[in-house]
Amino acid sequence: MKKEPLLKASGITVSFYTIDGTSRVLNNVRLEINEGEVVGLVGETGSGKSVMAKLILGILPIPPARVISGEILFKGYDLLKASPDKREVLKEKMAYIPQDPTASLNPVFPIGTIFIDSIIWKQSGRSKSKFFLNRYIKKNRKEAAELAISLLKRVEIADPDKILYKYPFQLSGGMRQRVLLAMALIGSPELLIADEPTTALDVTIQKRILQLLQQKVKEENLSSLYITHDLGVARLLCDRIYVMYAGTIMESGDTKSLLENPYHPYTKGLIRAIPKLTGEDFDGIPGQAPNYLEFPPGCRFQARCLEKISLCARKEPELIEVEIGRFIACHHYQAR
Amino acid sequence: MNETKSLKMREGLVRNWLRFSKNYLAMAGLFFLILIAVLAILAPWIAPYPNDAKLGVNFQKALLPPSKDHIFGTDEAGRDIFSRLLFGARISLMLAVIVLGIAFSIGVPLGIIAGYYGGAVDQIIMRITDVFSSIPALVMAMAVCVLLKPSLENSMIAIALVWWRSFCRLAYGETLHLKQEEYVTVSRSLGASSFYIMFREILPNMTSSLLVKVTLDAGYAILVGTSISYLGAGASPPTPEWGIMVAEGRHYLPESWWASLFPGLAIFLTVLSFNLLGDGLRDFFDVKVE
Amino acid sequence: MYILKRLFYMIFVLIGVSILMFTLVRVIPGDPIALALGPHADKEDVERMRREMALDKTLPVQYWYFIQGVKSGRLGMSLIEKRDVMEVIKEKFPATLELVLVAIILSLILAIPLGVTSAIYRGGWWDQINRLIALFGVSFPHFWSGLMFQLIFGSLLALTPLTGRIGGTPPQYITGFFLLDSLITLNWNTFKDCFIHIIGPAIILSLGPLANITRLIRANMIDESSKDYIIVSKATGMSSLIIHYKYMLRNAFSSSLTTIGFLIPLMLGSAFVVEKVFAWPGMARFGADAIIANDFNGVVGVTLVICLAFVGINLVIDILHEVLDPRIKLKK
Repeated sequence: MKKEPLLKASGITVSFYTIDGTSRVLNNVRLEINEGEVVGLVGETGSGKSVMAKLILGILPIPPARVISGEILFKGYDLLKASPDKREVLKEKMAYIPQDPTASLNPVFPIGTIFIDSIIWKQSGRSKSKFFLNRYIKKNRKEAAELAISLLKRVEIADPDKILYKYPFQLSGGMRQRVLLAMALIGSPELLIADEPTTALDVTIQKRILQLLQQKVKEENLSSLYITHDLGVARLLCDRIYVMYAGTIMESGDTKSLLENPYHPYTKGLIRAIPKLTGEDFDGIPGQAPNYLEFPPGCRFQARCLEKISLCARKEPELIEVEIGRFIACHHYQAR
Repeated sequence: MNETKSLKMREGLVRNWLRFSKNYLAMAGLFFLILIAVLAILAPWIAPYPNDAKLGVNFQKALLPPSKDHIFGTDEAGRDIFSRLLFGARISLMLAVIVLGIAFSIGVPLGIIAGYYGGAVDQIIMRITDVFSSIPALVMAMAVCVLLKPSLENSMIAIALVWWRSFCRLAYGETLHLKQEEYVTVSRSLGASSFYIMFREILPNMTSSLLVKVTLDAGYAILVGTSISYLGAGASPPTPEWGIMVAEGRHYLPESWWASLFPGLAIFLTVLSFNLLGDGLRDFFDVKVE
Repeated sequence: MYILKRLFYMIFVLIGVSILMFTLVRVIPGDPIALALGPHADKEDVERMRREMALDKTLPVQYWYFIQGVKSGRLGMSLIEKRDVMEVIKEKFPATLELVLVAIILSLILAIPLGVTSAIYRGGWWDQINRLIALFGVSFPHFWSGLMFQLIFGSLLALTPLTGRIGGTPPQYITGFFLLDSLITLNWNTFKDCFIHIIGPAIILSLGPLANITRLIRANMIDESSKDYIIVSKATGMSSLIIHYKYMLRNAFSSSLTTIGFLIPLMLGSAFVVEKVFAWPGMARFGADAIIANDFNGVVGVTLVICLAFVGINLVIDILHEVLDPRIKLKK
């Protein structure tokens, strides 16, 4: 019997209301993450992947954004309809690794302070009074510091005890990302959401961090949502991949079959666009990023699609399971 | 060609107005300001006792409480306070216009020049501004005013001389920021003269911040002006200036409270209106810039 | 190195201001001495005073005498107090300083929570009310709001005294700050007396800064809330109380410091009016009287002190910046 997925999002539609107009940034998105799985969300910049992540994490600014429809079931609770308190409790089971490690650490506090705050807060069971009591007892601080040091060791940082006293600007980019990874592991989360965590790093460091990520995910048996624009990285890390364009899921399936045998024209285009070491000419995908304010009816990819047919301009294709575990949103595959 | 351009401009204006008018506080400020300005302009015709503004003295009617005949009561010389307030509005509004006009004309060009040329010119102008800035406006204005001989006109000059420094600062900061913009580099490469760039390209781009500043400063200038008069360094009796009206009425507190209350209230409401409007303008331009 | 540069700059500004005010007060039309001594003064007395005050010499020479005087701690004779200005200032400055400090503390205590909560509940009714109150606060003419306070609390409700710094005997002189001194000497009655006298002018003086600081903190908090590290903290379920008051406020406050520092000289200016209204025996009231009476030594003296305060505050703010933001300290 198949277990219920850890995270199940369906029918998510989110709009942004700005002075210039309304833009629908998430269009009927459907996403599932099973326990122990690493799911990749792949798409260009501006495709809405970060919005989806922020929505799950509960940090999407609700005005100007607005959730038009959909539900996100996490451990049985609908995140979108849960009370703020319940949401906070659920947040504890999620971890977040953001894109830019430099901007993600408060520059005026030493690393240790943020760590200890986080650890003691979780230990105090989210009770403010307990927190204040515990925070200032030396024994608790010491214990928390030790926990922090052990977490830092797990992400392979040298001299973790010294790191606690340092400020973010005194660490290198790679070290900062490791620190963030260590902080993400506090409280044994069940779902890790990583938003392009290696984009801001040097290429040489990227690989190391990716390997670290892979390791930790396996060790801690974390389920993970990995957001990236880089298919190569997705292939390395992810068990399953969702391909997103213009806020819509175009294709999804397990990594191997999706990359070896892509069905959706966009996916095909993405794979073609990866430069190959054999020196062949590589194609891009024609056209530019869409204007979210004015979407013509029909499929959102039609303007740049090489396999467009007349139906594409009239009707938006549904996301249909064409094989087991393989979903496509394209008129070429609707009939099956 | 020109028709479509002016049509678009009008469209833009209408759209901006519609957006601006959603700010209720700002609209209230604007409304009150217009009201005060209208009252001030029409003062000689609508004041019930126009003579009281200058010389009309009638000691039999001294210190009457507010009534049907005298909406705000009379002061210690029997003059109708409401009429005097109307004329006082003329004085204060005129002060704001004159002071800001002079300060703007001196400060803004200096600031732009300092920011644009940089180097020695920058240092000289800005250091002088710094020296002037270390003294609070009220203090320096009072000192200058007394030096020139206390009078209403001199207080206006004094305040103007003190006010130019903050316009200079603002223009300087904005110029530093704006001269990095692309269109400046393009103009320069096309051979435009410095004067042209400074005043036809950089200056127009500061209008929003300058407009906000002028509005907010108008209120503050009125505060300083009336304070100077209150302390005795500005207008002198029998001028119906709001500041000295409060000072005069002070002697008759607390029984004849109306003599000080209403002039002060007038100052407060006028300054508040400027602040409401200025604050609304600031919000309006802020969003646009984002 | 940096501190040295700042000190140098300080001195430059001080000299500049002294020259400015010095020249200003001495190129007046009219005869201040005759005015000061009154219309019935003897012509000889006026001449004598003029010679004593070196007013018969040229301007640069006068300035030279002035600098010499400053070196030995004298700022010149005050026409209205009939003694050296330095003495007058030494005597009256603590009163003004105490008033300004109490006003600043008052505004900070209120402004920070108001600003933070306005930012958290941005757009809501609380925010709108605060915004309105802020706009009110900067619109009050101090002489009028002072008067109203005296009317309502002094006359009508008879809660506070109308004027003055203290009703009975002042406490033993330790710091010159009556509130502190009475606390240190455990003189509870005197403390109450001082408190009730200072609360009126302090409140009036604090209204403007309160408004400004509230809006400032609010704006800076809103800026902070979009910073990545705050978003990360929110995403990982950290307590919002801690996020707001520890993580966000630290930076928001540090960004506000410069502006807050500039508020103090502004307050000193407003103090001229407030001290007059409440008959507060401080330096600012002396300054106001000096200006009206053409007591140029008094004017120059008071202005220099204000300027000194201004420059000193800038220095203090720079130091505070270092303390609050470790990047500055460690990067040097």
